[in-house]
Amino acid sequence: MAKRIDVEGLNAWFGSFQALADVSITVEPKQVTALIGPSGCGKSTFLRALNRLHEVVPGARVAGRVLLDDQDIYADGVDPVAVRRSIGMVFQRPNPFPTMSVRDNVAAGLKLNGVRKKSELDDVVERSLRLAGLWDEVSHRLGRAGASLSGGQQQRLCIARAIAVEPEVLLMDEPCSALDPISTLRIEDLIGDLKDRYTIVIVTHNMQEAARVSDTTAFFNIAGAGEPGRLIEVGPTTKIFTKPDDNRTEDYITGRFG
Amino acid sequence: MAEETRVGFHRDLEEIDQKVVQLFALVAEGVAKSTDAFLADDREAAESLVDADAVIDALYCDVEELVQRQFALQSPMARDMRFLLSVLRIVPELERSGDLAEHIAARATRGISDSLTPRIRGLIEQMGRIGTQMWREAADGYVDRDADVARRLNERDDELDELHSSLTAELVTGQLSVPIALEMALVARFYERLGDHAVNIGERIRYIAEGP
Repeated sequence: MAKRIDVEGLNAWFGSFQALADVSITVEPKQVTALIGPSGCGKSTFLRALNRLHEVVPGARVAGRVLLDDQDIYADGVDPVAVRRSIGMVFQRPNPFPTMSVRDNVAAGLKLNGVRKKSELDDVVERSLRLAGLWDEVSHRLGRAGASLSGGQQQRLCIARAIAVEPEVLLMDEPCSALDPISTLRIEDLIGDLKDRYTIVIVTHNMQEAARVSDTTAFFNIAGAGEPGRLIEVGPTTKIFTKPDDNRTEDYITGRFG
Repeated sequence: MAEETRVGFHRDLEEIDQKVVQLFALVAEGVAKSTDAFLADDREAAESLVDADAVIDALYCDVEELVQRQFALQSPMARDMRFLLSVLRIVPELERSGDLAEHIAARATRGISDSLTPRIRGLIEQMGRIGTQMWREAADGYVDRDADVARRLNERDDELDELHSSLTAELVTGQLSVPIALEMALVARFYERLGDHAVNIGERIRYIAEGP
């Protein structure tokens, strides 16, 4: 089930460069939270810190606490792989396993977790593809390669793959930026459907997209080159795009400062 | 950082803003002139207000189209959205107020003012003065994005409403002929409406400045 994320005093570094400073935010369950801000503001770093992907980069480290329903995912002894199973990620470019079939793409995570029974796998594949809004388009060609699908279909396949392992949280890093407008709107609709089940955090460069899909918007910014990214303001999306509290937010979303 | 983007869009917003300021100036001037024209029976001044109203109507259409274009093409947000939404709600009030000023001036051509009692004349003068002040204040408030103008206009409007009541009470005493009294009731109503439109605009100015 969807879980709440409480981030307390999160800092992130790449080697000696601090990419993110002192971020505290609560991400509500069954809501879509959008992260916006200029390039280099740390929003993607923040997203990756939420499922311990940040530390995969050599020299990268994180300090602070990330609580998933009161469980600190950075506590000693926590298995990062288990964290990533419950906090799934969808990336900017659709990245299905290219030679695997559609079915195997969706089932890959389950197989890794030791599920072997065909009927169980088939059930999960169908359920996940249905949730991802892709079932009707691929049900007759589940054996074809994932790479044979269109870009928008591939991204929905990646979403199906992410939800097949029943995560509590879905992180999306610019999931529509490589897609055409119609595919983008389909994914955005899908995000709206999925929030009934998951906590969703989406990074987007497209402010209209943030406005369309999210309930809460968080604005990140940097004070200048070499400075760490900081959370400037977080609030209901309607408020952020109508009358934000902070002038820096207002300037950014109205294009007064690029 | 610190580099403005969407320069063309912001230039269009400034153009809209200037046209709205122009509308405010035309209406505020119209309200002032209409009272003078009516009380002085000045047909020439009344006719110039009819011409000014045609300019107001054209500007109003122009602004609406420009705003619609911004919504269609620019996905305005935050202060830009609040501004454009407010302009869409302000300009019909301006257009209607221009009409009301013209209606008042139009009575100048009917030789009504000669038949008025000094007290009624005085009440009309006062309504005209307060109406004119309210519209100047609304115009300044718009230019300065002064959130407080809504409150001040509300207070002024109470004065106008009191004058309206006094004038109505005076009319029912039967000192004027029925046709003249009917016309005067209308003129009084026009001033009262002019005040209400200014108050509505004050609220929109507050929204631009402060949001919901």
